[in-house]
Amino acid sequence: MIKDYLLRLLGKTTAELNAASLANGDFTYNTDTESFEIVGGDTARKQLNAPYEFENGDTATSIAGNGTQNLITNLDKKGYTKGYAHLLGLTGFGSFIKFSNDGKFATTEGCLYASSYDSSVIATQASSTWYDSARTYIRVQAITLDGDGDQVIVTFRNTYPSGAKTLYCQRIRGTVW
Amino acid sequence: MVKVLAICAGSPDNVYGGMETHARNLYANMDADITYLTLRDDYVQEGKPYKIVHPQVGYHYPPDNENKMANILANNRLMFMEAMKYKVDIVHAHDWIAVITAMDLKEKFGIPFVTTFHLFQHQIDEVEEFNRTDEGMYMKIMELNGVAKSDEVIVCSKYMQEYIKRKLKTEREAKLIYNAIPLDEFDCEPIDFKCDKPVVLFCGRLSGQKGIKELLETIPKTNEFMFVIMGRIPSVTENTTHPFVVAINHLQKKYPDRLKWLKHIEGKERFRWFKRADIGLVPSLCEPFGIVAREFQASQTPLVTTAVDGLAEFVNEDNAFIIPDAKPESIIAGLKRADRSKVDKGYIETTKNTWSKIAQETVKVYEEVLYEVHKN
Repeated sequence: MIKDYLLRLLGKTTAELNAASLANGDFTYNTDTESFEIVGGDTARKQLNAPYEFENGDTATSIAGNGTQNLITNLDKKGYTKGYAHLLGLTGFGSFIKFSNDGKFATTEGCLYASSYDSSVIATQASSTWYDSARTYIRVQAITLDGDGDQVIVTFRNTYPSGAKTLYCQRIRGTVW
Repeated sequence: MVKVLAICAGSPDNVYGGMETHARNLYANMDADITYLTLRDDYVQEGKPYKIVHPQVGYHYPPDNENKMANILANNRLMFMEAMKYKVDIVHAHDWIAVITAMDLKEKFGIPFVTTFHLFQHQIDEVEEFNRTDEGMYMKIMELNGVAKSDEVIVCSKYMQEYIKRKLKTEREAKLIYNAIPLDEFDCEPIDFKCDKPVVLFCGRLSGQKGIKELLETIPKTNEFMFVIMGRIPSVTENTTHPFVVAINHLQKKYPDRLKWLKHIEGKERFRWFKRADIGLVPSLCEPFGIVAREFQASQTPLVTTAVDGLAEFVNEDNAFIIPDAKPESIIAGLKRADRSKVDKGYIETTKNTWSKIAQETVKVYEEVLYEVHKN
C-alpha cells in the first residue's frame, strides 16, 4: 500500500505501477510472443514450485528465538527452539508457519504470517485451535541471510501433520526485525 | 416445513459459475421455507418461490482487487448482521464466504449449518501456481474451518469427496449430490451469429483453473476456428491491465476473425450461444464438477473437454472428445476431431438427474442434521 502510494506520488503511470508491483512468479502476457510468461522466468517458477524432500531431523533448517523481539538465528543447526520468528517486509506468498521446540513440526508454539503486500504487517500469532482445525502446517526448508545480513530468506513448503506430501515450495524474503 | 437460511454471496440472477447455477436451481425446486441471503443486489424477486435478501449497502460482490481483504471482512460482518434477522431451523452456506457467516451464527445462536463446497481455494492454488494473496490464504483457512465445523458437508462429485479427505486431510465424509441441468432452459433458438468458420465457444470464469491461458495461447496457432469467449474475470472490475484482458484485447485486435469476447451474458441469451456454437470447449485444468460441460451436452453441441477431476465422472470418449491436457496442440487436435457423432449420448447423460431430485436429497440432509441436533 505504502509502496503504491509512493509510486503514485512519483508520477508513475498505472502500467508502470503494475509492472513495479509484479513479483517473481507473477505472470504477464507478452504481446510479441503471444504467450504468458512468468516473472523471473523458469528459475522463479522452479524455485517457487520445486518439489522438496525433507524429513524430521534434517539439518537444513533451524529457527531460534526467545520472545517477540527475537529473530532467526542459529542457522544450520538441527531442530527448533522455542519462540516466535518475526519477519518484516516480506513479499510473496501469504502462509502460516508453526514452530516447535522439539525438533519436529506442527506443534502450537507460534506462527508466522507472510503477507503478500510489500509493506504490510507480517508477523502475527493466532490461537492454536484455529490452526489445529485448519490443519495447515508449513515446513521450513532453508533459512539463509542475504546481502549484508539484514535480509533473511525463508524457503518453506506446505505440508500436513501426517503422511506429509509435497504440495509446493514457497520462498519468502524479509528484513530481520 | 423446514425453515432455511440459504447464504450464497452470488445472485441467482447473475451467474458467475457453478455456485450460482447450483443455488439458483436448487432453491427454485426445493420444498422448504427459504430465505436466500446474497451479497449482490441484482436479483429479481418476482417469480421466485423463495425470499431474497441482502445487506443494504452499496457494495458489489466479488470485490475489486484493491482493498479486497477489507471488503471481505466488512461484508462478512454485514452478512452476519442481516442473517441475525431471520429465525430459521438451519443455515445452508455455499462456499467460503458464506461459511464464515454460518460459523458465526452457529457459535452465537446454535443454529446448525450445512455447507456445499463448490470449489476450494486450495484447488485453485494447485493449478494457478502463483495465487499468493492474503485473501487467498484467508479463504483457505475459512474453508478448512468450514469443513471441520459444518454439521454436514455436501459436494458435487466423488472427486470432491476424496479431495476433502486426501488433500485437506480431514475425516469428513461429505455427502455426494451431483448437479443437474434444467433442460427446459435449453429449449431455445440459436443466436444469429454468422461465421464461415466453426464457432468454438468457451464459457466460464476467466481464471487459470479454466485453462484460459492455454486457450489464449492456442488462438494465434490456428486460423481454422472462430473462438468465442463468454466470461469475465472474477473479482476485477474493468481491470484492463490484467494479463488475460491484455491478451484478449491484443488477440481481438490482431485476429478479429478468430476471437470474439462476449464478456458476461445472462439468462436465455447464454444458452442461445450454446446452441449456436459448433463446438463447446472446456480445457479446464481443475474442475470439481464442470457443469458447463453438461450444459454443452444439454445443448447437443459437440463437446471437446479435458477429463480432469469431477469431469471424469461423466465425460468420456463415448459422449465427448477428450483431450489429454490443455496444451495448444492438444486443444487444436481435439477441435479437429470434433463432429456431431456423440451429441446424442451426451444429451442422454444430462437427463439422468433433475434439480427436483437434488432438492429432495438436500432437504433430506437438512432433516438428518436437525434430527441429530435435537436428539442431542
